[in-house]
Formats: sequence, structure tokens, C-alpha cells
Amino acid sequence: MAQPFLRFENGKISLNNKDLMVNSASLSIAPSLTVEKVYGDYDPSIAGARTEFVNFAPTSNLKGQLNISFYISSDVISPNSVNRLFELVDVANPDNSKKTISESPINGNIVGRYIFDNMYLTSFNFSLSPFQLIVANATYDIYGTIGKVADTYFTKSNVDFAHAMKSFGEVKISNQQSSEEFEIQDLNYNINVERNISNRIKYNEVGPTSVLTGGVVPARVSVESITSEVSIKSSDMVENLNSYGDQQNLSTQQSIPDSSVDVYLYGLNGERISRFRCAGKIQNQSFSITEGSNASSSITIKQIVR
Amino acid sequence: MSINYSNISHYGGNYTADVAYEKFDFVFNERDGLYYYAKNDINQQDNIVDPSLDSDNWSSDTFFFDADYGSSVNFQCENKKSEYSDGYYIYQPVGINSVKMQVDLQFKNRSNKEANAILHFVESHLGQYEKDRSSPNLKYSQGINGFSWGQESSFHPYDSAEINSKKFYCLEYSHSLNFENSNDVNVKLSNFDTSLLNKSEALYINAATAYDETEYYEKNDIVLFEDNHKYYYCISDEAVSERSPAVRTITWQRNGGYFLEENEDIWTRDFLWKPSLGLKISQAPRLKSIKLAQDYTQIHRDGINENSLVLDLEFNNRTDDEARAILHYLEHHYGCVPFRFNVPAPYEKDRNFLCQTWTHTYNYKNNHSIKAKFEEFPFNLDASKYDAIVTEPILRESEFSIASSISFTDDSENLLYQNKFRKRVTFKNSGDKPLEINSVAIENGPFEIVARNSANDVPILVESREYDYTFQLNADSSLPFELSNQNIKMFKQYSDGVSGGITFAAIDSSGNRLVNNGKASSFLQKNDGVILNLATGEVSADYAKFINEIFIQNNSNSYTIESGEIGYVDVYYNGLLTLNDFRSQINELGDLITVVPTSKTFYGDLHFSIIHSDGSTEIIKTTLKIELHR
Repeated sequence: MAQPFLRFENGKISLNNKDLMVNSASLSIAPSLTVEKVYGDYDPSIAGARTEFVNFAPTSNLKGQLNISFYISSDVISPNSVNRLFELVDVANPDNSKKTISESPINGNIVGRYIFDNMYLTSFNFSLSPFQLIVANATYDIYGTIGKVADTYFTKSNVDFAHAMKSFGEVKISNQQSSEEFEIQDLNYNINVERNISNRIKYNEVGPTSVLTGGVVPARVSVESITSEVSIKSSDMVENLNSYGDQQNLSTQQSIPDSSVDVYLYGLNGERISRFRCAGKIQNQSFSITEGSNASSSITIKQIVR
Repeated sequence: MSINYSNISHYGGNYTADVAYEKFDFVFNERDGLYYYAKNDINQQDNIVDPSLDSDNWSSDTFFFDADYGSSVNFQCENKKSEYSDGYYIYQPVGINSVKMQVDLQFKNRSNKEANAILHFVESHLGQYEKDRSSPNLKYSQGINGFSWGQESSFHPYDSAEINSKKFYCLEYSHSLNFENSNDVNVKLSNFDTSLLNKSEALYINAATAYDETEYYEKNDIVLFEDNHKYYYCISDEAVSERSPAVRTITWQRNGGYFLEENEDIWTRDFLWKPSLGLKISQAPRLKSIKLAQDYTQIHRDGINENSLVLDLEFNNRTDDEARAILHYLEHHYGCVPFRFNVPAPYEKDRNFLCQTWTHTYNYKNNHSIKAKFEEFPFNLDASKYDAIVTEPILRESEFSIASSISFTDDSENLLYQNKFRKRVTFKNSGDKPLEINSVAIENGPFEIVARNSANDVPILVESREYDYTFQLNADSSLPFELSNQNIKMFKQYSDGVSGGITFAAIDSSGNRLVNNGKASSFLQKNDGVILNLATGEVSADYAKFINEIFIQNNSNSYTIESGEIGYVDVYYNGLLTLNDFRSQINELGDLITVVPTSKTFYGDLHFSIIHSDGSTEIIKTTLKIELHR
């Protein structure tokens, strides 16, 4: 029998049958129910029909979400780690030509005492700040139910997160090198996947899935649009921003290249671990100055990957 | 080379056996001129020469695509409305195929390959086949397209062999190209040939089983009570058995005719399912107005039944069983048979309604919604009263009808006194009640009855009944052509006259016809007793009996003739008269002269002893007449 309380050390996180060192995880799952009420018998005290509650009826499949937060290290970011997550990392890396990720579910997942399948990545983001650990977040959609397993333990990682990574950000506004102007104070990188599901009748009602507790699971969870977005905090704004989201220093808006932010992650020994790129249009920028502090600005660039 | 019927490009070309195919690939098969759609991933080694021989992996005429939840089925009853005064009306089906079904299948988020296959399938089933296909049935259906809704696609409560064998047509479909490799397709399948004559089996909804005393039934189960051919719907919350919905009564009654409904706490024929919240009732009473001068208007009621209800009801979030019961109920009232429904208060009095159109949406697993339009019918009768709305006619007593005189003749050939001659004598019960034949006999004359070997034998048969035509001939050395002790199958047809008779064939122990020198066994025993071997042309007159004697003995075990049934008895001239029987003495000019004419007519009597349904008895006599030649 499981202990009544589950300590963090005992709540192993394993995705796609691979252990992951996370600093927090939250798992939720909920059926989609509607209330059915009907007209009942005549009641003279109200001179009309009573209403009767009949049942809660399901209207869609069980759907859940897993959010994990973890420190990025050269160990974690290795392509040998959580495959599907790093498919998305590959999409964000211009050195790879990958434009999409697999539609297959991520199976064999454990969070604490709970085990489940049919998980699909929907977003990945991380933040870079000077002298801070790099914290990444990933969000997954889950279909079907969850089971329970015996408590499992973390294996102590020998990675020292505090000294494991170096990072470097390079900003080009409309292809103009701007590293001096844009001294990056803070950077947020997001990549989001929009998905679409198909719940088929016979797929779920004939054969093995028809008797599973989780009931209906989607026959297909397609990958539709993939967008990346980066927000940087700096000390300056882009001048001559035109309505197309580009910096226009000449009289024509023709042939102005996209603005881009490249984020490089390096290991302690200087090896490049990964490169995240967002090359698109400037979505917004802001500037603020306050007594007692330096001026700061914020610029957001968005790329349509797919 | 195939003809491209479709707007869809990139089809897989001509079928070849030496490549692997993926699910939803579609190819043209040059062997039969049809397109085939892959139902599974097919390995190269699994491929066979012709996809038409591999129905597990390939489909040509079966729509096998699995639709999404949210698909719906629309029903529309085509009835003719006859209106009378005071708001009275009736609906009558325009024909036997009046209940129409249209399946609205939703395919969401499908890959390009699957969407292409769906669209190509419906587009290539719009017109004529590329090549005519031989049809065992009516010629005019040859080449006309259509397809079946396969079991991989049909869903509850339409997932039955009956629905899978129906012909569907797609007259309307749409396609949304949502995203790269993501498509929504909407296909509407229609069926036009479901007959109300199949109401005791199944129309569209899965068939209900016949009531069985040994079975347990619970809420929303449906049974067919076979005695009165009515469907009953279980309303018991607990499983029950041995609680019949009705019993047969001896006398006709105004409620239910010959059937009295019982266990009404278990079974119902009223519409007892409760509608979901959200009912809105709009009323437009039937009024008349009189417009007078000075723009003065008077409004008054147009007789009675002027404010009948029209309800748009919803039955949402129902289980598989409840949805099936509701749909079955509506389907089996055809939009023209009124049923009783208790509208929620304050309209709660029992009223009759008709439902001509309804829609079923398959929301999710075990979750269905049904929308139906109920029109009030201006009577308030329960189902058993509609069963007996026409008063039972008074039945006439049984009546035995037979010709008063039966002549043994053959227009083309003389009957010789030396030969036997068989004739089939038919009779009919033209009354409304059954009668029983107590005995049949030849009272006088040179006649005998086939298979009547004692006074107790009543060798009569009825034309419309099923009999066993397979039997074994006796061991008899006079039987020619090795027919002694032989199993034979006799054919039902009988033909009259000397050359007419009964045909039969020798069979083996498995019932298969024997074949000799490449010719199937076939014999004719003429009505004069001569047996012809039709395979060899040989003739034998050795056998003195009729071969259908054993058949009659085996099957003449019921002597009751129901109303309208036609019975028969085989009578034959026994061939025992001699020339002496032809001699006549004529007194001419005072002299006695003995003459022997070339032909002479002989007479006999055939007697039937009848017992009528009221117990009274009657002797019916008919004269037998035969003109014999010497």
C-alpha cells in the first residue's frame, strides 16, 4: 500500500519511459460532462411539471494536462532525452530542417504514483536571465485515463545545474546586427503547437479500446500550426518600425528581411548544445523609464514555423 | 486505361500485385474496371492478383470510412395528408418506401490521403459503372451505381447486416481544407428502397427479437409479439421474465381485437420517454375572420380541434439502449400511425401525436440526442384501440366447393379402356372458417383414388402447403430403369391429359441428382402410368402403380382445409373395364340387336364427408365421367 503522503523525492517523473529531473510537475485530468434534466410529473403545489435530474452525460473524451518545469542542462537537452520534446527543440533550431513533429502519442509516462499514455506536447518555453539557472516549461495534453503505480524514486543526478550551462543571445533587427544596441537583460522563448483531434465512432467502440476505462481516445491528434515567439528585455526600442513589423530605414519596404533572435546554449566546456531561433516580425515593443532605475524596453518577435 | 470520374488527383494508378499499399490508397483494377480502396496497410507479399478477391483489405462498393462523433441521421416520412373539417386529418404513406433515411457523416481532421479516398469513393459512385456488370436480378439495374454502408462505418443502432446490405447513394458532400494534411469532409448517404413491408423484420434500426418467455427484459428493451405482430417497449426498471405483453383472446374485443394487453407496468406501446428541458410551444389557432365595412373584423373559431399542438421535442444525452428504443418507436409509426404521448404540464392530458420527421445525433460514446417534431392528432385513443378500429367482420361458415361433374378427357388423344388414366380433382374451402374432411371415397364406377388403400385413408393434400418431395420408392421388380428402392425427388408440377403427368429424378443419399453418361436423371410418369426415361428416351409400361402414391401417403396427415385453401385428390380410371362393358342392346323395329360402339361414357361418384367448424357434417357428391374408346 502506498504511503499516505508522497514526498517530492519519491515522486519520479518519467516521460516516454525516460526519467526527467523536474523541479515541479502538475497533472490534471477531467471528463467533459453535461447535465441531463427532463420534465417530470405534474405537481399541484407548483401547478406544473417538476424537473428531474437524470444523469451526467459525457460529451467528449477525458482530457488532461501535464505541466512540467525543469532546469536545462547539457544532460537534459541531449537528443537522447525525451524524444518528442526535443523534436520540438529541433523545429526551433535553424540548423535542422525539421518543420513539424510526429503525431504519435507519447506513451509510458509516470508522474509520482500515476501512470498514463496518450500524451501530446503543446508548448515549450524557457527564460534566460543573467546569473540565473535556465528554467524550461513544457505543457502536454493528455487523453484517456490515468492508472496508479508504486512509489518510485529519483535517481540522484550528477549534473550541477548551477554550472552546467552558458547561454548567449544574438538579436538581428531586420537583418541588422544589433548586439550592441540590444544588450539582452532577459529573454523568454516560447514555441507552441496547435493540435486538432478526431474522435471516431467505430475506432472507439469496436475492438480493444471499447473496454478501456479511459474510454474514447482520439484516433488522430494532428499537428497543425507551430509558432515560436521570443520576448527580450533590453534598454532600447527599434526605431523606424513600419506597419509590417519591420525596421524600415529606407523609403521602400521591399526586401526587408525578417528580424531574428538566436539563442545559443553552451555546455560548461564550450560545446554548443542547442540553438533556438525565432525569425519573424516584430509584434510589439514597449519602453519604460522610472526614477531610480535605468530605462528598459521589451520587444516581441513571432515566427510562423508551420 | 481508366476513365477519371473524379476531381481528385493523385490516385494510385492501376493495381499491381507486386507493390505494398497503405491504408486509403486507391487504385484502378483493370480486370473489372472498378476502383478499389485499401482498408489496411497491405504488405507486398500479401498482395494477390485481383483486389476483388481480397475483401478484407480492399473495398470497391463498400463505404468503410469511420465517421466522427457528431454524425447524425435524418428521417423523413413521405405521407399524403387528407384534411377534413374541424381539424381532422389523416396521413397515409405515399408508397411502401415512404420512410426515408439520410446519414450525415462527419469526418474531422482527416489526412489528405484519407480525405482523397473518401471523396474519390463518392465521386466514382455517382453515375454508371465503367463497365456493365452481369446481374442475376433485373436487367434494368445493371450498371446503375450505389454502394453499401459497411460495418466498418455504420454505427449504433444501425450496425446490422440488414443496413449493411442496403444500397446507399451520396447526393451531397462537402470538403474543408483546414490545414496542411488536415481536412474535414461531410458526406450524406441516402437510401431509397427500405420497404414498410419489412416492418416485422427491420427497417433501419437494429431488429427487435421476438418475445421469449424464458428471456429477461429490462427498460428500453424492444420485443416483437409475434401473435399480433406488434412491438412492445419495456418500461420496467428491473429485469423481468415470463411477463408477456399480450394474450390472445377467444372473442374479438373493441380494445385490441383478439389480443388483450397485459402487464402494462412492464410493457407499453405509448411514447413514454421524457423530453429534455427546453421545450417551447408556439401556437397558431385555426381561426376564421369576417371583414365587414368600416374595417370591422370579427374573429371566430374554425370549428373544433382548432388549437392542436405542434412540439419540437429534444431527447438529449440518451444511452445507447434508450436511443435505440426511441428511434425504433418512431420508425415503426411511419409518420402516419398515431401514438399516445403525455406532454409536460400544464399540457399534461393524454393526447395522440404523429411524428413525420426526426433527427438522431451520435454525440459521443453512449450519448445520443434525438430531435423530433410531434403533431397533435385529433383523437385520443391508445394503441390497442387503433388495432381494432375496424370492427371484426362476421365470419361465414366453411363451405366446400367442388365442380358438380368432373370429366376425364383429353382433347388431343383418345382414352383407351385398357389403360389407366389419372386426373387431379381440386376443391376449395370458400368459407371463412376451416373445415375438416372426414373421408373421401369412390361410391361407384370404374374409378379409384391414388393412395387410398383402406377406408380410413384420406389422401388429400393442399396446394399452398410445403411438403417433402423427397422419398424412397418401394422395392418392386416391376419398377423399370433401376428405380426399385431408389431415392427420388418428385417435382411439384402436375400436368393434365394422357401425355401429362408428374416428373421426378433419381437422387443420391445427399439429395443430389444422379448423372449418367453426362445426363442428369429425369423421368416422367404419364397419367396412363407409363414411365419415360427423359435422359435416354426409353419407355416402360411395366409399373402398375402411380409413383406419387408414396408421396401422398407420407404427407397427407392433416385433413383440415383453412379458409381459401385449395385441396386436391388424385383419382384414376382403373383400366379394369372390358369389351363386354361396351356392349349395348338396342330395341329397333322390335328386334333386339347387340352393338359394340367405338366409344362409351362411364360414370362414377366421388364422395366427401365434411365436418364444418360448428360441428355439423355434410356429404358432398360429385359425378365422375369418362369417355373410353375401344
